[in-house]
Amino acid sequence: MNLPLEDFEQRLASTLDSLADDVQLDGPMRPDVQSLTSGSDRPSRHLNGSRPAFVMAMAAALILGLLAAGRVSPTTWIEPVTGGAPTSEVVVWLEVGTTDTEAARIQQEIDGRSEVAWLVYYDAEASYAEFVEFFADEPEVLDVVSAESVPTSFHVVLVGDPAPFARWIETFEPVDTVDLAPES
Amino acid sequence: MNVSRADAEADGSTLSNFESLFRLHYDAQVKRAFLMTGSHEAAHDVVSKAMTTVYQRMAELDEPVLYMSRCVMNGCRDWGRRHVRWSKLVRPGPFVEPAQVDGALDRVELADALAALPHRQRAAIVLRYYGRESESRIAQVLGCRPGTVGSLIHRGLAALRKDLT
Repeated sequence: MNLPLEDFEQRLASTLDSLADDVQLDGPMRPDVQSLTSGSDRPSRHLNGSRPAFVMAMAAALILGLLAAGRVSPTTWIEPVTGGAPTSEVVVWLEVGTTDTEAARIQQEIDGRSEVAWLVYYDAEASYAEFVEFFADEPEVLDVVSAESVPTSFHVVLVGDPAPFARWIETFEPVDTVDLAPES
Repeated sequence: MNVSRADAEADGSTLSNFESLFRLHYDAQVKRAFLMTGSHEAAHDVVSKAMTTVYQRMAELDEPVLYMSRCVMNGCRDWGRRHVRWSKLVRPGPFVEPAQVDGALDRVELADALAALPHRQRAAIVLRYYGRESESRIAQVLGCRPGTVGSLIHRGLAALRKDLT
């Protein structure tokens, strides 16, 4: 099917209308005016806890796997913004047994690339805080994960195609995996 | 602390204006945020935070609806950035259920294709084809030139057409 542009635009609009109508507008996620204006009791993330059980089990299993692999975390260290226009994002997860010195060396390598516009290191504390926020309504996951077992990572914003950077940084020890994000 | 009558009236007016804004725009903004994030929870969370910010700055805003739209789109971008960090641990269920809609595209395919777009292209597509906003208004929401909006829409449409036709 190769629709003329005008037909495609019309179908796109009507399908977006249909998708948007799927959203759950009422229920515990919906705030009231008082909660928004009182400065407290604001709605929090994942209020309805609707994520399927298998997702929580999968997350717990993955995290336990990381735990079994013996990940360690460097100490606190946040790298400042280097400037530039972000066009794509990459998460560089670090390998088992990463030391502060090794993490610093990886940071130096990443920072030396001209396409890197922004770089931040998520140490154990920052990673765990974010993890807890994300899984706030899933105690089954939080129960089996400690701060030490959450992997540390670099979050990198790149100018241009992230694929060459990902292929390049993956070759370094102790880089574990590299995730590309469709964000700009 | 003494609160003057004028202050009290101003506070009452702000609250009243905010209540109207909430009643008129909350649902529509949640729907936009849902298309942007694919998450019911994130949509409510992002819009709630945006609404709180609007309320706090209500007295100084010339265009609270525009400001709210900006806050919602920025919130969706920030949510996406955090989400990707844990996306390999979080496997949410399908964004949408398949359903037959006459004269429409495949819902599941569109949801997937939309999620794969870069943030600004997705925002431009949602604002244009769901929000029916003008290019100049989209430029105000995204903080860019109208010409840039045209380019974002053009590239977003090309990617969607490639995936969906």
